[in-house]
Amino acid sequence: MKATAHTRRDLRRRIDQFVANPRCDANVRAVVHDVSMRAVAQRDLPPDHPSLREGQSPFALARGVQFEKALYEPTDRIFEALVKASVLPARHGPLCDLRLKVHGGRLPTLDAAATAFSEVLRELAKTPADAEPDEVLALILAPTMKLDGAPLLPFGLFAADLVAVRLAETGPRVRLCVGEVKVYPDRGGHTDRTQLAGARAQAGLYVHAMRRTIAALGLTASVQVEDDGFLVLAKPASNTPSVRWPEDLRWQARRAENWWARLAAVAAEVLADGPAQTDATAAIEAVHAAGTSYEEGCLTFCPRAPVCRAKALTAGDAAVLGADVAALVGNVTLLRAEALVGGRATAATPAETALLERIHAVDTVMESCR
Amino acid sequence: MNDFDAVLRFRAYCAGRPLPVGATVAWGRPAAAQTLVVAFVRMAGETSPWAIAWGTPDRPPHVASVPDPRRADDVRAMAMRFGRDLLRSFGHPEHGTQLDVAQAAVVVPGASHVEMFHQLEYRYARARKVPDAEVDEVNTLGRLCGWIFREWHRPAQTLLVDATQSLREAWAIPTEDLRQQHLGFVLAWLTTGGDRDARSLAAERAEADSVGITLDPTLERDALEPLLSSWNTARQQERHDAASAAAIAGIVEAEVRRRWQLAVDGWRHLQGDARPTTPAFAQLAALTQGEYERQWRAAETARTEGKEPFVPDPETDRLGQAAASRFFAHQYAAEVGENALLHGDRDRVARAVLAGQALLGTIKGVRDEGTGRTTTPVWTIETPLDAPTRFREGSKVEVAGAQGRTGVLRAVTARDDVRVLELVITGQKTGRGAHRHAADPSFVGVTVAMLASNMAELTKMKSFRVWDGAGAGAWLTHGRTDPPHDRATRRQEDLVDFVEGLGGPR
Repeated sequence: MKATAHTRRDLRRRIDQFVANPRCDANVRAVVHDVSMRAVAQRDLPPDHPSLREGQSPFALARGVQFEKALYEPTDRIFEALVKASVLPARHGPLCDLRLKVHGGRLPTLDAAATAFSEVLRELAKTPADAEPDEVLALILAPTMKLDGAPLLPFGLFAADLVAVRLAETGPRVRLCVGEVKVYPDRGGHTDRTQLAGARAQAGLYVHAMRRTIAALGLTASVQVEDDGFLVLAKPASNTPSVRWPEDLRWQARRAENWWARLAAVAAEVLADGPAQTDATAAIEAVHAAGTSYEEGCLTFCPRAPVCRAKALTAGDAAVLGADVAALVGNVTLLRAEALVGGRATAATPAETALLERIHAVDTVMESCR
Repeated sequence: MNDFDAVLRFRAYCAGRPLPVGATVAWGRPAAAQTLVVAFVRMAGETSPWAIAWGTPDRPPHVASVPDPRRADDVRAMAMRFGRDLLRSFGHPEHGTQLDVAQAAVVVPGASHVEMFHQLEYRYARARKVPDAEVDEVNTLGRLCGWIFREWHRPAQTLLVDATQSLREAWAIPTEDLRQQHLGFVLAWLTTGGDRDARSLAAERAEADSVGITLDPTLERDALEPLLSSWNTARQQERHDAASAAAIAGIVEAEVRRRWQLAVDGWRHLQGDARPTTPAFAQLAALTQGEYERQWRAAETARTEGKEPFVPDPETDRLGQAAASRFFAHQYAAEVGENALLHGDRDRVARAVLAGQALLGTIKGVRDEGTGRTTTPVWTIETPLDAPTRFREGSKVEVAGAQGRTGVLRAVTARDDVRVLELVITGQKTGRGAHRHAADPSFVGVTVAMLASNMAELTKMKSFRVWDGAGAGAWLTHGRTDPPHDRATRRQEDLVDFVEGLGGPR
């Protein structure tokens, strides 16, 4: 399929989208066919609907660019921060910049960046056993990886922010530590937990992708990706980097591995969509026609959530009252539950009986306490 | 959320309107003049405010803004306008008189606005790159913002009100939790007339407008970015683009004013609630008063006397014993708050019962096992065998609604489908005030709820004892370190030879 305005090449975002609601058929198909759910939502919502607004602030983007510029130009700043945090030794080698031209680097395309990173890995694998830290690359900016075995995700490329290279005394000589750069402030113990969790999950995915890349190149004997990674955040009210090291990414990497396997399996089923594989309009149509499964979390990531929520409300799906009420009501519809509680119907199934019993138990306790 | 909340939300759905949670409310009723409402907006990606609105709910707010929040000097000037009023409102020793916490409130629209106080602390509490004449005042504002941010996170504090959170806790709204983070959405559900669909539609419309500190990205991109670009271009040419500055101010001030007004509307809704304030409020306000005086005002007073009191770091715990002490202070507040609020509200007791944190039973027998002048009332209580509970033999419990009437479960046995408890009353045994003597036979047949006994005083004691440098484990954090080793007394000979020379078995 040719990349269009509705397709995106960012595989990481697609995996995040899949993980956010793997029960929704439409969501899964959107991920596999690389269709923006916004494009699908445009068919159902008026153009001025808040859900269709583009999410990026120009100031936030500029701030990100400014922070990155301050980190890498000159490179002393990032080295200083990483040495101070003990990610790198005081005596260290140079930096290898694999950024694209559009991001201030020199490489023209993602494919060229992926090829260049493979070359860098091969060179690193030749590191002699007696090499000193300052004789080896210390930092790789924007290493780009292509995941193998993903025929349904033809645009599947990952670009991590940076990787630190360390030398080990035993085992594979070269150790890569994945780093993730985020512009939000590091407020110590008060740093936003959700943002931190997102950054760690992202870094974990890169750990997994990098391990697969190294395995595909047959370099596992000499290059290894560490379980520990690092985060580069900003110090509050400044452009000074604040490095969090070590961040244990082993479970995030395993999570990424599991989700990747699930996504590959689901993608195989979706192959049956036929023309959707090659035609962007057909892909949007396939996603639009697929069934949906609304849940509260959809509100955080899917532009189509208002449409699905309205459908769920009409169908009496208790998910519109949140996960806890949905668990209470079970598979009884809200309309039916309302009739049961109001005495306009009698329980006809074990689920309906159980629901009435639970509500009665609450009423009894409340009555006793009054 | 347990079954209590889930059922209440489901009933709210059936009723087509929000339903009250609890028989009492947890906020005070201060006069408008003693209530400060604050709202912020910021530029996406930045930590400084772009505009601030503050004032009492009975008057139009003070609103201040800067053309570009990335210009530190401009932001500082704006923050100090706000800061002087804030210091006066909080009764800083050099700016005002001590606050009566029970009669005051600081209200913000939502949680992101609270975070802004932390950002202000970071920026100003230890700021040095400011003109000498301003350093003290700027640092004072930063310290107050830091105290506000930390106090906000102390459980059961009564001074600082997050309007969204307070409304959500006081009402069951028939919609997902996530959507209830939006003050406009919550208020629309509460204030719109008509049926479920009418309220839901109004809430959906209100939800379209941003209420957090970050502006709508579309507004930033389409309206503000061109203006700011023009203003900055003029500045680089050493011109003042008054038109752009005024247009920027018009937009960001309207945004912050809307958030401030929402907070006021939320506060008015809270104040108009017909439910009484919890009887525990006075106790919790007294605790807050103590925190205000000891943790902030006393330190500021000492500073005016030329002393340098300890001020917590905005980022982390740099002093072990202070961190440990504050941990226990927060735990103490949580325990006191939970217990006090339960005693004052039977609906909260019901929720605790359903969560297994309290046990409901009927008194079947009352006897006095005391001899002579002593009294040892013992209650025999029956509860359903399937009622969830964490209580075991030996558990210390307190009778809900009778704070101080405590007891120990001497025996817990099962008979048919009931659980039989023997409760030996150990606290408030005799009649006092409205409470009858615990051995009064008229208790037979009465339904009581037993709560886990409040151990808060022990926690409070820990918050003091962690300062003891000689206590167990103190060497890890703050005890006095051993004197440095004297190199002259170190053994120089080979260690293996030395051990062999001791003549032990080989």
